[in-house]
Amino acid sequence: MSWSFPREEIHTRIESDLFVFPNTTEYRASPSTGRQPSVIRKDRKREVDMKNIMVDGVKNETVGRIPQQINGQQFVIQNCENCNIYVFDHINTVTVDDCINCNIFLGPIKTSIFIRDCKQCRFVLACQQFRTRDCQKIDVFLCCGTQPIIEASSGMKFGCYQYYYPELEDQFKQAGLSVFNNTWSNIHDFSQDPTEAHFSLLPEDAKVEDYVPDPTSELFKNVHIDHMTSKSVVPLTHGTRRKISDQSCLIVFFHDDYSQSKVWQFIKNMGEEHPELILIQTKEVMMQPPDASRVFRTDTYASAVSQGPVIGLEYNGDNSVQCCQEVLSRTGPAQNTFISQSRDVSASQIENFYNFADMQMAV
Amino acid sequence: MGLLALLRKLKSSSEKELRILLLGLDNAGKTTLLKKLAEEDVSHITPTQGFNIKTVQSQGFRLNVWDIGGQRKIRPYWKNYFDNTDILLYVIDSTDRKRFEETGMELNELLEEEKLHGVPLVVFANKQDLATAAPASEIAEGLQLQAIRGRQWHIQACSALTAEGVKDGMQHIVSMMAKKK
Repeated sequence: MSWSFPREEIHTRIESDLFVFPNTTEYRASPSTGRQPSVIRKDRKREVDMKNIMVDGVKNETVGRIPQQINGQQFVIQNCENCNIYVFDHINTVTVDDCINCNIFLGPIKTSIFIRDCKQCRFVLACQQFRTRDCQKIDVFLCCGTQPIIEASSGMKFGCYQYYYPELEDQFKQAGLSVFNNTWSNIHDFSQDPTEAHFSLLPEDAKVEDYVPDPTSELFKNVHIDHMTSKSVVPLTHGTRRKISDQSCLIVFFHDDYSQSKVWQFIKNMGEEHPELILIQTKEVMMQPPDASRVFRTDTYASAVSQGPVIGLEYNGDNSVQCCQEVLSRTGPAQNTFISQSRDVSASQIENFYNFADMQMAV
Repeated sequence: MGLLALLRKLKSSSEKELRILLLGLDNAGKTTLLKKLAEEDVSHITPTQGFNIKTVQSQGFRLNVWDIGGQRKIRPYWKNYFDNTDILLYVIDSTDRKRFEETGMELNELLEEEKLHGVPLVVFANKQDLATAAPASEIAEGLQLQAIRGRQWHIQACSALTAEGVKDGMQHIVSMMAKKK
């Protein structure tokens, strides 16, 4: 893909003297070629790089980056007001500071996002770590690989990440994020207050595009966003909301060349045939044979788990065990999958599997 | 082996066991550094809610490294871990200019702690792989490390994520301990 937009023009509003770097950066100055570029050219390049990875002090505008403009670098957003900001690329790490009333979409973030001193903002983002401090009234459609944390923040609302554009799936891979590891609803509040809840979950029917509208400006015309639930690269999960039934079913797909597409086919079929059942949570995790013996209470899956990470789904609803069994048998050959045999055993299987996965995720 | 030799061996091995305290603000990269020191995978690290501890073997030393969560709310608990600390590692996010002052204040408070009196300090100027990272020299100046008296100190530019500078930092820890003995 070739992008030919006026790069300089977009960035001219950004002050270039924000970061003053001494020339003596002994750590970074390690030219791989024998030729040492001139200091002036190096500084000029750094200045351009800095502008590319920052949005600073913008008001009442729509700005952002398109695929391959950031390509795994860090990104910084600060001092913005009434803006729509879109970064349709994978990113190393993000800080968002001192922003008011902004709508922000961020592509998959390999490490952490830290949001500080922001208020009345709406986000759609995927990351490994989600952190906030000193924020008020933030809505987030989140995909987070670990437990999201908030500190000294209030009026925080969370929903399940839902998004699609053609490059997005690959950007998740580039960032090392699994679309099946999303603990968006299990928030840890460092400033717990028994008299006041600092966070809640967005309504189940909340639509991403009602919070962070699609960009309409020319810059983003080649980013083809689609909001159909079935297209989202991250499956829609119910999270920690109250379950609709006391019956759940565990389905585990063991790793092979087709396991990912089998999972997606299964989720699609479930949505079409049993819209009354809900996907509570998903998890992609490595298991060793002894782990499999403990979780499934049999040695049958010892070799299956050795093939690579497994993907587990929990569906909830009356009769979910029987319905999942039927859909799974129609989705394809049952080999390389595990499914709860009966409702009597499914509850403990789900507990075993997700407890194991949570332990794996801890340090 | 005679009883005396056995006792001597136990004594000498216990002498080589060090207690290392790993502190710094939240999001500085303490746990990533801890896992890198232990040569573990750093791609699935969760924000620390309490503490993590790992034992790392290095050049005849047994390093017990305590990594304590850095959120403002839980910093008052740091003092519960001060006892018998042999070395203080302080991790700074070199890109987080917004909080350079905050991290400097926290470090100064640590240096004034009676229980950490004379304890050698290694500051890790972390995240040097990122474009907006301030160089270690600038951070040393900002923290006024030159003014530190009564303890050994060293600042180490590093990226815990890519492991650059982490081994060099370890080298300094070990040589500081050798000097201290």
